[in-house]
Amino acid sequence: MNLDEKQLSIALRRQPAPPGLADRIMMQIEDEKRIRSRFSPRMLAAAALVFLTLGIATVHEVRSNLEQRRGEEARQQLLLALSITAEKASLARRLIGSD
Amino acid sequence: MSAVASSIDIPDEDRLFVARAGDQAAFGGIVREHQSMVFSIALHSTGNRGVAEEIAQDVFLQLYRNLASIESAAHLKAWLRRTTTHRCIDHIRRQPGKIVPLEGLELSSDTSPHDTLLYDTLRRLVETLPEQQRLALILRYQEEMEMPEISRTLDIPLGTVKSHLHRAVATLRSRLARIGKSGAGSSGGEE
Repeated sequence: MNLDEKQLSIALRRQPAPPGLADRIMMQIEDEKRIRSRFSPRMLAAAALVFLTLGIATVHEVRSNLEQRRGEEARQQLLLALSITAEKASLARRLIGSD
Repeated sequence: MSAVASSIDIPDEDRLFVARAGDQAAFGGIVREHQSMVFSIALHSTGNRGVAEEIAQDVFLQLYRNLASIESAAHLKAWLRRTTTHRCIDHIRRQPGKIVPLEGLELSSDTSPHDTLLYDTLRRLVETLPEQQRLALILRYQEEMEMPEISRTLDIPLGTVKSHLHRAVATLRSRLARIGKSGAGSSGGEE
């Protein structure tokens, strides 16, 4: 069988689009536009800013709580050490006084 | 503005400019103008009208999202061809190898230029070619594109385009010859 370019051009000629295709595409685009307008770039930027601020505030809060807890622990340890020292000093004073 | 943009007489460049400014009717005009090109490339490469329609819808939706980057009517056409062919290649690669039962195809030995059976058979055989050969053939014979343009559209070297086209035509010729012989055999015509 001889196959020439003309036969290929006829076989592969452009086929018409199905009826209503353009309307269906435009409906899809209308939906896309509606979604886009619901979530405008300005709204998305504002939401991102709120999330970022909340995130930073949360991190700051957690960090300050942690530091506060550490400070409290250090204070308790210092008080304990002082009370032990005072106890020992008073014991030493009593022993010197009894001599 | 919309009424003007939807007018058929509006030049492509103006329609693109108006569509880029957000005019829905102008974009509708672009869709209507190019839908058969996009749909037909997808139909010839997938052989499935439903899939071809889905690809066309995806391509135009992508165009809508990227409209700001389209600079001219020529750029628009090249962008549509390129995006459609790449979508088709992606689709073909996701599908398992298509098998066209050659037994179902028969050709008479004296095919006239108006032989629709020959053209139907040819279209079915094109669907069995490797994806790049298939798309190169469609761009060459449906879109009547020159080889350098096909090379740019498919992102492959010019030499590869030439060899793809050569191999595609050779494959189609040999398969047609096989079908022609089996058709002649089954109809009892022996030489």
